[in-house]
Amino acid sequence: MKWSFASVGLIMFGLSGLLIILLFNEITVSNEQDYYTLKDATEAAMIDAIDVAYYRLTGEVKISQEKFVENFTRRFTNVSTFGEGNYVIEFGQIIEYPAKVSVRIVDATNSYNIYTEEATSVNIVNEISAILDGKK
Amino acid sequence: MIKTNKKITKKILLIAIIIVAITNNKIVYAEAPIEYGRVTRSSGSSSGPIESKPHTPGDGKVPKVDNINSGKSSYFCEYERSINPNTRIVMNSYDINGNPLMNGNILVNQTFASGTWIGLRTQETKTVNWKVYQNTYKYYKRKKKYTCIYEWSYTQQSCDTCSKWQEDDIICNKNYKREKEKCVCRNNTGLTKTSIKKIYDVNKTCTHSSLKDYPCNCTNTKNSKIHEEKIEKEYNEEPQCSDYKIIDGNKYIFKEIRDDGDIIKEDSNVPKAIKDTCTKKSITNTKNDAIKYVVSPTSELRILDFYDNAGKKDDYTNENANIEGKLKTVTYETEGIEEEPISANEGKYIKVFNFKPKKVCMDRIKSVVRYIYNGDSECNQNEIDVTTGKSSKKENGKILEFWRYFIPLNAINGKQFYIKYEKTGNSKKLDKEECYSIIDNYPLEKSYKYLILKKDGNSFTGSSKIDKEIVNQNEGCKYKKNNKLIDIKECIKIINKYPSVSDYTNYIRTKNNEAFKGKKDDDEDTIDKNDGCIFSTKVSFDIEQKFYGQTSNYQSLKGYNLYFRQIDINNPFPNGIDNDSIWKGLYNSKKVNTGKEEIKLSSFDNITYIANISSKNANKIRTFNKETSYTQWTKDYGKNNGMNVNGQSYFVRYGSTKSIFTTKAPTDSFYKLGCGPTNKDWSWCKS
Repeated sequence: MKWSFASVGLIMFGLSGLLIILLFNEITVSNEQDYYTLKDATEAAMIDAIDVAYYRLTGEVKISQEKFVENFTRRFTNVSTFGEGNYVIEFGQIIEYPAKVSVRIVDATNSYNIYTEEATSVNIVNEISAILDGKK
Repeated sequence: MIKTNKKITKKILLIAIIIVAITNNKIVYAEAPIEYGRVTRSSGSSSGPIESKPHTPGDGKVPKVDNINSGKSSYFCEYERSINPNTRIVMNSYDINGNPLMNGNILVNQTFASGTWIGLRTQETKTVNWKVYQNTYKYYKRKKKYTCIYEWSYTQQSCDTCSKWQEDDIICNKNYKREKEKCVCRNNTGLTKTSIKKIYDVNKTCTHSSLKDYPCNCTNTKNSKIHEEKIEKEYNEEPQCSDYKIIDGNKYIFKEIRDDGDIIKEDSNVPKAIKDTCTKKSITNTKNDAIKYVVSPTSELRILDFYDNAGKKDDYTNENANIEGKLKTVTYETEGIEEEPISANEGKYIKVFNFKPKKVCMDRIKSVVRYIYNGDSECNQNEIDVTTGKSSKKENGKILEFWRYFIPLNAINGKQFYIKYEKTGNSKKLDKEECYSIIDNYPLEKSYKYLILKKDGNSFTGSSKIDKEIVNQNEGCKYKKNNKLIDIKECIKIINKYPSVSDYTNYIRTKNNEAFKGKKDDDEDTIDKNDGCIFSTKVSFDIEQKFYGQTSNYQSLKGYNLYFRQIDINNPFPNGIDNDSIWKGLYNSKKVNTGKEEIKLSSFDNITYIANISSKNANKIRTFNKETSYTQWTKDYGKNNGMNVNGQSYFVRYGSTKSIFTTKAPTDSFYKLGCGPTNKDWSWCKS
């Protein structure tokens, strides 16, 4: 009898471990995916947002704040093929000239019930601050 | 991915101030009409002078006066004058900060970034000095001729002439005395009787001094003499003769007046009114002829017309950026003719022609530049008028304006863009002396870039600093400097003068367009007709591509000349900021100078936007992405996409996607499109 309980316990322990592994796997994979997506999307969106008319008039590189926000949101969403959405993009300080942005992605993992009263999900937060630099 | 900066190749920029005074001194001797005027006395007014065929003084011709009517007079005015036109052409250029690139005569070398603009000021000032030197007046009158006839009446006696001896006239010698009409011997002559008797027998001699004539047998007759005196009178004047005249002591009494008809005679006493009229007319005519020289410019300016599609990021990768275009003629603006009197009979007219496009419009969303050359077109709705700017410094005590010439954004290093300034019309061809005057004033040593336009209008692509391509058809030879067309003999003269060019043989062509093989100074094959010389200044600009990256061979564009860099907010530049970085001077001690204000660099102290990407929102976004590309800035009709000129994104603020954003930054937190810290005070940025 005790062996059967032990077996059940072992199986449950294994399952818990597996869930933990899945959770952390999702965290790390999501985190890594988020990070690179964030970086790439930020870079592309900053370039997309360059106010060329201002450059032509003054020779200075400036981005359009809302064009950056738009393009980043669209790009990031488009490449986020994992999950079903459910993430929040927070834009911090955006300086048009000189071009500097700060973006944060808050991505929630799936919920996992690991011996808790409520299912456990973890927010994966990635943030980046970046500039456009170049030669005068 | 964004590429790093490329090596920048430079060519010397040649922006020239070409100051050319082409003076056309012509002294005009009364080629202007000789004034033929009539003064109608009866009416008391003077009719306007009638232009007759002019002649040059001293040519032997005289004005015809036969047709002066009775009682009328006429006048002729001749005047000498000079009309000296002068043309001055000034070109200057300005950088993106409005700084003039020519300080005095010093050429400032500078490259211009692709996509940005170069300020240009091209001005032709036409001046004409006029002067009337002297007026010669001839005043003729048709008068009445009369003759006053005077008569002197006198009695004339006519006598015969007799002669007799006067008693007193008998003269005897000493031996004889006169007794009546004979001489008798004198007594007491000491002579003896005998001797007296002998003497008495001798012929007695008497001498008479002379016989005297005296009138005898006289008769009296009456006679008269006429004296005529001619007079001239005005038609309405009564002739007047004196009652008498004393001539040679004789009194001639007035007899009658005879009408001798008319006479046309020059009257040296020219009335002041005539003189004033002549003077006024000479000045008016001279001024009218002088002003014609300044009515229109002698030159035209043409610029490249292009449409560079800037704003469509992907297009550049398909372009080889070999921007070519057609030259379009730029109109000129003028403020009217300024008159500057120097004296009563001397003055000057000045007119300034500013060559520039009518308008230069930039689309703030697409950032495309469009030139309007003529007509009443205005900039479109999303366009701003970026035509003129002002110099940052005073030139000759004035702040001058320039117009903006935009270089295409996708122009690669080494491409040339140019404006061409050329004389037009009949004055297009200069004579040899003027050509050489210009050539001599701008020797090759000053490293001006000379360009040749081939016969087909394309640029010469030779690499030597002094490129000469002589295309010898029936146009003689084309000297590369400023695109002048000059006689081949003169061209060879220039070649010989500047022997430093080593590859003449590559560039001289014979009549058959073959390579020149003969000696420079005796190539008779290439001698052709002298077509004169065309003054044409082609000002080209060397550009530097700073926005896009370029391939290693600099033949096409690739990527951007900017790079993306992730930073640590607390230490964004751990290795310092390069001196040529665009961030140099903008960041210091954690503060960023945004041009509007200095702010602390932070990350998420203040959240400006929050986008909630639920599954539903994600679908909206993906649908939106299918219809609108990432690089689209323009709004499609009926859709909420693109950008507004006020800097708002339709995706963020309007339509079905706006609900994605639960937080949005205030609209005054960002600039309008095309606006930023440098030009925030421009009118379209303020409004």
